[in-house]
Amino acid sequence: MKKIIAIIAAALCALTMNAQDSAQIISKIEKANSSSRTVRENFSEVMTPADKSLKQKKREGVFEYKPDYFRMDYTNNDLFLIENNVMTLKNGAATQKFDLTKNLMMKGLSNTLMYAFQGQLTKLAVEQNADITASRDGNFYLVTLKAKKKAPRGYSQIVVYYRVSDCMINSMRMDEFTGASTYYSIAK
Amino acid sequence: MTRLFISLYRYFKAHKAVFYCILVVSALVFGYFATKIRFEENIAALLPKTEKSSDCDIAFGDIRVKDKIFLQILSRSGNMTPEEIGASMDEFLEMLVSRDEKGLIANTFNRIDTDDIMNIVYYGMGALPNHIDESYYPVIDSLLTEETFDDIASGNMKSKLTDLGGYTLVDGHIFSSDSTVALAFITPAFSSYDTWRGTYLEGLMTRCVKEYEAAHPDCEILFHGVLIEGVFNSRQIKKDIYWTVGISLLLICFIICFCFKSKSTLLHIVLPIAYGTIFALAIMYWVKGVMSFMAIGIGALIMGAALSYCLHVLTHHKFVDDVETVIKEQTRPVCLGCLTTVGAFSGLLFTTSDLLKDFGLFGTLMLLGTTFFVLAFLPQFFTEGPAEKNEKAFRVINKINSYPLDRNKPVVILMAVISLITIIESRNVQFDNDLNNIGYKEPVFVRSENIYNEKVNGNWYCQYYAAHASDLDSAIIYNRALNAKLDSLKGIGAIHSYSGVDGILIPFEEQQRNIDAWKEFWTPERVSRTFNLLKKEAAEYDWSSTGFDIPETFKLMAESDYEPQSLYDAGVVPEALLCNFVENNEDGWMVFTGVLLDRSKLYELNDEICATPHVIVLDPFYYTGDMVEIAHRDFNIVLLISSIFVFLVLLLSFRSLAVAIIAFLPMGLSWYIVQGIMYIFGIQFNLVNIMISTFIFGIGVDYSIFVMDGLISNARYKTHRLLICHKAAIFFSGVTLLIVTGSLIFATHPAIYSVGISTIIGMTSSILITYALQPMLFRLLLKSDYLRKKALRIK
Repeated sequence: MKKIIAIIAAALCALTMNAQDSAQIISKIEKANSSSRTVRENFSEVMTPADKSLKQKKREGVFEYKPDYFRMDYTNNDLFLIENNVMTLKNGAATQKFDLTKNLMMKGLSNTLMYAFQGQLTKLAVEQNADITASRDGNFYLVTLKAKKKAPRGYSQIVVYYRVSDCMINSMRMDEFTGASTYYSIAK
Repeated sequence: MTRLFISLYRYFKAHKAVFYCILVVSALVFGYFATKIRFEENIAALLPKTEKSSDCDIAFGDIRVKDKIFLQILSRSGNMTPEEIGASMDEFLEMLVSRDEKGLIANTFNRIDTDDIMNIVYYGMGALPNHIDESYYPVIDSLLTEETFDDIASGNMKSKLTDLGGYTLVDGHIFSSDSTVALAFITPAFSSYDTWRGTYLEGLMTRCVKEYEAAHPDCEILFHGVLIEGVFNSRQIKKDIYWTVGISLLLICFIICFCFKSKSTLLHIVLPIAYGTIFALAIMYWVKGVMSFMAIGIGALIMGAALSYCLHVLTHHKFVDDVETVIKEQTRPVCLGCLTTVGAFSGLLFTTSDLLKDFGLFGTLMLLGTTFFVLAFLPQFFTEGPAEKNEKAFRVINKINSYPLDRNKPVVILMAVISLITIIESRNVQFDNDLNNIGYKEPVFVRSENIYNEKVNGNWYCQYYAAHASDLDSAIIYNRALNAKLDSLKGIGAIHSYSGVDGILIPFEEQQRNIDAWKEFWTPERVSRTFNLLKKEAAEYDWSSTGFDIPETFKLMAESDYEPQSLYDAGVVPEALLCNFVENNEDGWMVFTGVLLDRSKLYELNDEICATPHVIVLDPFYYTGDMVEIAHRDFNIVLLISSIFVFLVLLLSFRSLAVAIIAFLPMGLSWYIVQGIMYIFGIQFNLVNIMISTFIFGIGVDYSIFVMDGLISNARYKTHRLLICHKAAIFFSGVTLLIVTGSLIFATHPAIYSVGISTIIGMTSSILITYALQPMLFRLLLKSDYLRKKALRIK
């Protein structure tokens, strides 16, 4: 009987400690990313469609961000830019601009990318209506956001790896409910 | 009273400094407070609430949807394409907003952008099941066939998203359904009752329209709305009053100067009226602080009554050199006239209408102030000795006045017959309680309204209703009940159609039922069958090129979890569009529905629709109809009380029942004659021109008092002097008043015009009765020895 109680108590403690660890990691990442510095790094992107018989789309480029500014310059001249509440999307020859004060869909997308890259995890969880957990995985912090409920839009899961050394983003996989996913990898 | 004014005259004459001191200081004090009074130009705001409007306790001033301005652009030649007209609308709005330095425009809405459509799609993906009523599923089930999907995929069942009732979309721009008129809706940042800001915004819009049309001659730009109507109305009232009363006053000045041959006469006329006016305004400021601008306008008639007292005293001085004699002979009839006229006006104080009360109080105070000045101050400006006058003019006037109208049998018989006929017909006169009919509409405004009604409403009258509650969900529920009522009315053909947000604003409880129905409908088997159909179409029509995986998206939508959402809070619908359907103000939440109906059935439909709980008509005049009826009923009672009061005063003053009856005759008869003539000529009374009836009373009894005074003096002292003086003054008074009131028939504003017509009829009949019937009846009275002794107070 005593053994059983001890095991249960240990399990509860472990759970509590994990929860505390998760909150601490999230707080650490947010704090490390709260400065106003400009970050600029190379990245690669892989988009996998829901229909696995279709080909993946791969691109790479340089991203740059600072508060309220986010830019992804692709080597194929594509562009993804968020500046002054305007989202500019250049895919091939076509360029589209969206007013983020009016367009809810694009605002959601832009917030997701910005919050994830800039380590604003609490805001990311609210934006995605997701449960958030964080844990240590070797030299990285693994942050997982799982949607609280199944929905026809948005992401079922977002998994982000941050470097332990500087809490900067290392990689991110965004899984949509449809089965499509996008993977970002940052090269240091 | 005579002794008092004579004493005052002697005292002021001996103490000029005191006289001027009292005069100047009192004028300055009254003048200062008179400038502080605020004027209200909105007639609906001056009518009290009735039981009908009190039920919902809504302040119409707070409802913003009624303030919307409708802007339209169309091609004059018809050669501009819809795209060009749409682009013109964008340019014009940009110009207008850029020049709005005072921030009077809250927002404009003229197009549905890609952003708006994406938002609707985005919202729809997360809330579609919330909006599908469970009764639709059998229909949906019947459509889940290969043939239906083939038709959709091949474009045969193209979405009718661009057809939006009376509107359509061209290149994102909102147009009338025939794509000839581009439409925009401007929401002001203030209430339509704020006529100062409204005037400024209308001015800005008019200037922008002129400039844009000059640069783009083929563009015709029109606008209308409640706010614009108020501005035009107010502007026309002021314009009409300035021009009609202004010009007529110039004419009167000329006549006075010509006949009295003295420029100082004008000052002697203007000073008492000005003093009376500032006295009245000062007291109004102390008592109320605000008064109706329309009451001031109609108050021009009161100035006419006040003018007649000035003219009586001034004219008398032309015949009598001694100032004390003038005071002695004028005090009694002037005071009596003032008292009875005040009695007629002050009856309005007992009505429930602020507009009538303002008019009554202003009239009463002005007459008191003017009368006091005429008897206490004016004589100080007279010089002793013969007064200069145009002898020739006065001879002509005396000749006119001395014509024995009362001895001309055909004239008397004709007057009697006309009186009888009009008195009989007087009970048929109509009272128009629709305040919309006494408002003014500028022609360009009417054109804009007509185009909108034709192109958008299909020439049906559009009436808006609001379901209201303290929270949005309850307002949506009440809106459901309203739409159910409208549905049944449409079913029996009582209304043409209605449009609202019943389909998109759904109560939370109903959304949950819809979500449950969705879950129940999309069984795994049905999902799988539909998914396979979509996959087949996706492959056949290459849907992957759209970037959307439609079959997977469908599957996701069918299997996802949903919960009730507030479309209002989702931020999906642009604010400039949403405010046409939902409003939140101090009174709570309102959900609006527009109904197209036959205007001739408006009032009975309003009564029936508003029987639905928590539903109101978005038309304050619907509620003022009751108020106007009440004002009309009040007025009839007040008229009776005033008549009794005036008669009692006449009786006490003349101390002879027969004389009092004869003196009362012009007042009593002329009112019925006016009503009869108005009925015969198809002129209706309304809230505005019914006020002038008190004026007709006042003038009628004034003239009859002076003539009776003259007739009694004739009979007692065997001299015609007093009657000649009084009749000369009546002539000047009558001519000046007929000129002033007659000028009002040249007014464009319907209310001002109606006042002019009814006043001319009333005054003419008053004068004719005073000149013809009154002397004839007095002559008959004198034939009886008993009555003669009573009338002349011979013992």
